[in-house]
Amino acid sequence: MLIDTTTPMHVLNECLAADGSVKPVYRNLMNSVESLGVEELQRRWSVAKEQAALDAFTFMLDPREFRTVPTDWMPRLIPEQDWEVISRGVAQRLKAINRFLLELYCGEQEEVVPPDVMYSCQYYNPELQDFRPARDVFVHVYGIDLVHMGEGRYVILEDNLRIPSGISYQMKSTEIGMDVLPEMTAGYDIVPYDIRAAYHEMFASLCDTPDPVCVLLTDSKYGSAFFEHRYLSELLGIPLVEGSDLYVGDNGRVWGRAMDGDFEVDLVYRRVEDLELFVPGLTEAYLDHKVVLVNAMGTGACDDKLVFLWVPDMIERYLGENAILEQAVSYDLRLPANREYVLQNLDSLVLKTRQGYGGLGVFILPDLDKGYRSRLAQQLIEQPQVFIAQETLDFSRHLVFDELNGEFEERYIDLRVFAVQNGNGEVTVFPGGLTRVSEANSRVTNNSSGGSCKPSWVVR
Amino acid sequence: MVEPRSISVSPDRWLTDSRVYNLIWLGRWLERADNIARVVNTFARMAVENGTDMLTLQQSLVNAAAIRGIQIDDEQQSLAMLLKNHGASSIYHSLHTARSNATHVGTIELIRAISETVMTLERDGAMPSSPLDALLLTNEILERMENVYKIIDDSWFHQEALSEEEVYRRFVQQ
Amino acid sequence: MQTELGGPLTRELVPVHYAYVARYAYSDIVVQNDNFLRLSPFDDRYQTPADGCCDVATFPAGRRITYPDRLGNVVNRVRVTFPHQELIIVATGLVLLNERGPAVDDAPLPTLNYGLEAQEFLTASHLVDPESVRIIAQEAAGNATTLLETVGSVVGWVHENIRYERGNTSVNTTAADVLSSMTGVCQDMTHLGMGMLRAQGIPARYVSGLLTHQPGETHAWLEFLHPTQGWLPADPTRGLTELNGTDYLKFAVGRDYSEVPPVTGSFVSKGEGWLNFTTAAVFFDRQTVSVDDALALLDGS
Repeated sequence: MLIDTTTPMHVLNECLAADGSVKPVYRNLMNSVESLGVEELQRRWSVAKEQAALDAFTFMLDPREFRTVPTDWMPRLIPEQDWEVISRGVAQRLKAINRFLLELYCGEQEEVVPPDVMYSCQYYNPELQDFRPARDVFVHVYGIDLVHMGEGRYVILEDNLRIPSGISYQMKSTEIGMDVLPEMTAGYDIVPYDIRAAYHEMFASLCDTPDPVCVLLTDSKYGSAFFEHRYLSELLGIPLVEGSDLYVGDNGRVWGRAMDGDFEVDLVYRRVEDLELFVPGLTEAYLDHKVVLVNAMGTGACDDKLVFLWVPDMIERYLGENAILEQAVSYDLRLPANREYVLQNLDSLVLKTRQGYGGLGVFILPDLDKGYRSRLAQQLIEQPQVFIAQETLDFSRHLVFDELNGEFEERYIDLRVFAVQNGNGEVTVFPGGLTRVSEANSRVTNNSSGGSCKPSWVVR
Repeated sequence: MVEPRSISVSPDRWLTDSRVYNLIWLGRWLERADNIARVVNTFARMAVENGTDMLTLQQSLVNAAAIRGIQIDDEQQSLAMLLKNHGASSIYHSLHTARSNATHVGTIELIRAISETVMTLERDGAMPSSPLDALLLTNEILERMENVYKIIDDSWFHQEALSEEEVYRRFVQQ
Repeated sequence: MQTELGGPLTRELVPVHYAYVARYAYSDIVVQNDNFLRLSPFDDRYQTPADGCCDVATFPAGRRITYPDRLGNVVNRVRVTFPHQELIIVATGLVLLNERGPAVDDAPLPTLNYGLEAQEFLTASHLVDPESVRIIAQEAAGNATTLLETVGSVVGWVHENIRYERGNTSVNTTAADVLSSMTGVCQDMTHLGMGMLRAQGIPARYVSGLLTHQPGETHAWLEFLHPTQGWLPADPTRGLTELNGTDYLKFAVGRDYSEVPPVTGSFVSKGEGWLNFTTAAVFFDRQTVSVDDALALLDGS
């Protein structure tokens, strides 16, 4: 037996029930794994890895080092009934956040979020006051991080609204996985993960012109996410441009520089943060409605980990609904009672810096040693406004194949789901998403923090 | 069902500045890799034909490199330097950089073909221990690079390489 | 909040115009400059900002949002996205100052009992850790048995023992650093005084503002929490516990300097450094004060 099912494993394992039996949805997959056997799995793993290297499927933290995305090729399976809830919950949240951003920048400020929280946020953009983005869409591409608590109960850890990344990792790891391990698909009806049409519809519905010219703005081939930029440019069929390829012309519009004559650009799918550094004048052209930006400027205000606390209120206020998906219980440390509680319960909480991202600035206190914990406690007393606290969640783990030792081990996983909203206010939530796997003995699941990823399929 | 609206789908319609830039450097780095590979290949073949030893091959490579402006201090490292270890003027580094350029402008086939060439130098025990090893390795590199050029010719720019007989020529008639 | 209650006051108000100007010169073009300004008069029983008369401006101009922070300071956030190599920040306005401070009842130390709200002014903040100055606080407090005696002893000790000296300290100097160098400027003396009060169980906070008879640069003093009368001022730099209300123009309060610098923010540039120059003026005899008056302060600098 490849997987030891006789000793009970972790209660929250995606593949195995508490008694060690394989969960129904994983039965076919486990059978395939068993019948391949360790040596064959190891061989396939190295073929897949070589395929990733050949295709430059990389996440390069250092541009001098060619580093392929660490991937566990065994897919994570999400039953369709679970997906149905996730999908509705993500769409609901996206709509509420979009409404809030509209209100924040160009409505009567209804103060869902206290002003000292909202306006002290690094990503709040004062220059966007009174600006309405094309078709009133702020949130075009949305990435939401969920963890599974078992029994189809998914809890939101954070929202990603600036330039959510990772959608190509889901697609590329699935592509290579299906190619190298076709056995894994046996017995499953996999809901296709097809983003091209929804992206095209989104781009087209945001522009006034027929057949708009759309470009993907990258920071350059030295950026860590360049694989994704190239992949999307190819998949969506839009030119990949660097900042120096674009400029703002005399007519106020954005132009692309080309050897065979410059061209006007209608929409920039930007994958960079500080637009002005890459294309001087782009902000002004945007504010003059001369160009559409995807994602819009100003969405980062809702990436703030403290603003996160008020999203359920946004759903209630703007949609008149209760939130479909729960979110991690969080503490606003501006309040003395919360600070008191957090200091007394440090060893069971997670501390996050308000403006951290990519797994940086996340401290899971139960997993840290005493010295580190007391240094953080001191920092918390000194500068509570830098942090928020969350209850530590004991979320699900997944079997991950260790190709060196030929064994399966359990690792924590999360799920980043991607959704887009087009100019008609229609939301498409792509079925599945990127499952990120933590490193051993850690609950931080993030590519920037060294974790690996896993293809995720919604199965019927 | 409403027909989805469309956008202009033409990733290669414009030769943007960054594409041109990456194309130029792609060509330069491929040429450098090719050039060094040919030098090593030629010297390795001579060494095999003349039956000379590794040390002699290494010495002659120091001189061959010097002519190309590549300085190598440690004589016994010259082969390893030219194959892999020299910061700018090794086959490995040149291909590595060419691949980086290709990720910007190339097709997936081109990236793969360059990656395959890079991998010949990444294999365990890739470093040759005899002139014959060096000859075989550089033969393989040059063969794989041929494949890179073939992709550039055939599938990327759709420029089928024409043989001399197929080229149109102007003839003078009387 | 209990903290702004206060006792009886004389209502003789003195109108005072102020002008503050700061100039930042950068080594290269700045494309984005995002700053939080705490340069608007605080509204409390010692001073009342005149309605609609207080404002801030920047050159080049930026987009602005005004909001109160959690301690009630008025914050103007200004984000400049026009490329520039020099940024000028101006604050002008009219504030009505109370001529005299309130008469204060004393309270015996053992009776002091503060609620949860006050805890953050008793514990360590970024620059002021009471633990680091506890021993000297006990020494300085000596036999003091009441709140006001303790404040008097601590403020007196700082005034007598810390030498006023520029250039030895920076915005990152902690209360403990001041104690080891025994020198500093008003900000440092205030931090040390605050730390010593906190160590003695008296909540203390930092005040940034102007000294009306000695404008030119910003001043710092402290406030301690009185159990029935709220926050009361004291000035360790000048060794005073009874402040004349018209001497002080208060901009903002915080747990220490790091929370409430007059200007704090970030900018984006290829260059590295910047130089800044700040000055301020206060007028008792003017009918108005304009942005031009503030800019004129830069002449000859």
